[in-house]
Amino acid sequence: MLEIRDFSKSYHGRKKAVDSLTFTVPDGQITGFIGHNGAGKTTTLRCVAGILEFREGTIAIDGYDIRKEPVKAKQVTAFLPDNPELYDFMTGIRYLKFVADLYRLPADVRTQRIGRYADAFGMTKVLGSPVSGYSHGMKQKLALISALIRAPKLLVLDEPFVGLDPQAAFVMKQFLKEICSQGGSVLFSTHVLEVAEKLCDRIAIIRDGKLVEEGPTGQIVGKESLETVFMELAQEGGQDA
Amino acid sequence: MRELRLLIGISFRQMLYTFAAGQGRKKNVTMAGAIGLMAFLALYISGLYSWLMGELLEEAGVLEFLIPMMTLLAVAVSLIFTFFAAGGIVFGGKDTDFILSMPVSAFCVVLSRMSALYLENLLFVGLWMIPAGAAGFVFAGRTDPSYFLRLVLSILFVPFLPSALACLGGYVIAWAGARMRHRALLSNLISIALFLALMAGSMQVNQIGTLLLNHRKEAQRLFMTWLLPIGLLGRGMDGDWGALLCSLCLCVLPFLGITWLFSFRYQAILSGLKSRLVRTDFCLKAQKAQGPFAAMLKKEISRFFSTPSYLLNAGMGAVLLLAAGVWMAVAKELPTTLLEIAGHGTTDPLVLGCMALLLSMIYPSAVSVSLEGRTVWLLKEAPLKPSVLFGAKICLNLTLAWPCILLFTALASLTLGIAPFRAACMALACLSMTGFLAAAGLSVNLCFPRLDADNDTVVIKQSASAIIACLGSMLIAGAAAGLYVLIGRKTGLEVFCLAMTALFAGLWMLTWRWLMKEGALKFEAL
Repeated sequence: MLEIRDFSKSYHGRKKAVDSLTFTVPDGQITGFIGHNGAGKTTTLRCVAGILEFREGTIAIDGYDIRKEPVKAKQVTAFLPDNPELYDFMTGIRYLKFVADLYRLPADVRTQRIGRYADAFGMTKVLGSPVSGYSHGMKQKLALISALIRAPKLLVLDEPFVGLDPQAAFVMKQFLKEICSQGGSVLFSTHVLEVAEKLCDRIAIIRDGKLVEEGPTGQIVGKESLETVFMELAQEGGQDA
Repeated sequence: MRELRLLIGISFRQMLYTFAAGQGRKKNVTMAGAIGLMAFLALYISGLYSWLMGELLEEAGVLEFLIPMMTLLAVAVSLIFTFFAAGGIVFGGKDTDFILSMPVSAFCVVLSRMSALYLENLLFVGLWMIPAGAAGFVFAGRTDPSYFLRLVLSILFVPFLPSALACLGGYVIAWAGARMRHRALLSNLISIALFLALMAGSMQVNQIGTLLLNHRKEAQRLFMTWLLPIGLLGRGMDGDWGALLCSLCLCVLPFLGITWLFSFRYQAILSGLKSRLVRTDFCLKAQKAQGPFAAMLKKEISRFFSTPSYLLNAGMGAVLLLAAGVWMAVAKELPTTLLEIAGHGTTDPLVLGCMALLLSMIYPSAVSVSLEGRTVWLLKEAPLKPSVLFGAKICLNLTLAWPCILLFTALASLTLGIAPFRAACMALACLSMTGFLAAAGLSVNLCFPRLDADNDTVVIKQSASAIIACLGSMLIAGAAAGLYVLIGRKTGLEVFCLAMTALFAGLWMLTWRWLMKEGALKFEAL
């Protein structure tokens, strides 16, 4: 579903934020993207979503190169940033309709999907209110609903569990699994290693912009915990530096 | 005291930063350029009005009203400019939570916020009062050098008045806004009322001499009662130091009083304003579908009408064009008489020139990318072609301008008796010009984006792209007028209009092509 090859990104010609990154997110799998602060996770995810430009390497989603065929690649992708800034001047339902229009969702499909996901996240009753009145968690849920109603083939999430209440986090995990069961894929970054270990089929660990581990969760973790593996890799990084 | 100094320093730097665009040296250059341009415009307008007013009042024999009248104008215009900013500065700063968590007294916090408001007013009042003071010096034939000391004191103290009033107004708006569902409607109505009052007032300027002469005593009474600080200031500028001292006290004391009052319950006020208005009675019904272009255009229109400063600055030309059209239809004889003064055969070109000038004041596309701000990721993530994205932004300009052009031309044709074919040619030229200006404005915004502004007003009024687009459009309208004087008078207005239509259409097409290639890359790089 997602193929990242020799991808590098530097800001204003300075040190590379991401350096020769290569990994794939297979169909039907959830991939966790792990790394310390400033490792290059958000940069990678934003380039995958077509938000940031890059010059080196290729990123292909469902066979479409994000640089050469951005519209086709974005049509099958949904991205949720860590702190979603939404249009404050719109109501929740107006925002969902706007997104549905951009993705050309038919009227009956959007009604059904908005109803389903808004109910699941307990948001239906507040959809008539302006987004400016929403709390951080409500905005996060609205952005998540707007991503899910598109039925994306690839769902990219940056720190999706931050700001969500336990019930919403549980519901979200169910939907992530549902996307994968239907042949889609999920790539998300997180600092919550327990969640990554339990939820992800694959793990990719990035350190200082370089991929240091990638593969099936069971293979990476082995007999230890993901936290132990991550700490060992971090210490190796510290010694190298 | 040290805390207060630090907080005021932050407020001052924030104010300066609002004028800046870009980074490093470019930032300093744009900041200096924007401030210089604003200073020049304020000095020019104030100088023009001061001398005009001086001549009128001298002719009417009521020159003693010159300084009070100019001070009153400075306070009124300054108040209009900061009325809506006050709510955001005093009660809605993004760093409020952070500052309040510091070991600083509420009085210091409110005073620093009020100081930011004061600094903004000081800039405007200062630039306004310098030419006014100079006019007062010249027209009254003064030789006393201490006059300038009194002028400096006035400039320093008068801005306290609009700051205090703006803070009260800002609080009322913020309070009402927090409790209303249609807060944008309230803000739009207040803004339009203030704007119409300003327009009506400025249209009376040429009658001010007669008015003051006929109602001298009433005016004097007004300045010594309701407008006491300004009345005393007038006397003070004439040499009465006691009156000047009283006036300065009357300016600063309400400011400090309001600061103290708000600081007394600052946290409670902020908590009240921050309480969210979320209704829980929404019921989902069957939704309708439309295409991406319609959705984008609808979004742009909603954005435009939900932000009063957007509507009343970037859409000012459309409002004025409509008002001018209606005025022509209502006051049928007056416009005809006024245009006849200009001379036979110049009526239609003058109407066209006015229309072009007002249309150059419509510039939403020049700030629409900057206004995306932190929500720009939504558009970058969406599967939108540049033609849809940029087309919708340009279309907002056309949605505002084109109906106004057609209505104004029809009304002008009926009222002034412009031949239908000529009117149609004039309309065509204007339609084409607005198309080009919309595309050019968007290009300018892509070259000078400002996505990190603290609030919308900064982007709409002070950003580099807004200033370049607005002044550039006026220059283009001026150049077209110059071209008419050089060539158009020989070819005839119809031929000239059709030639301009073709020229602007060609430029529009070229700009559109640039947008589709370079513009798309620039948007991607944001």
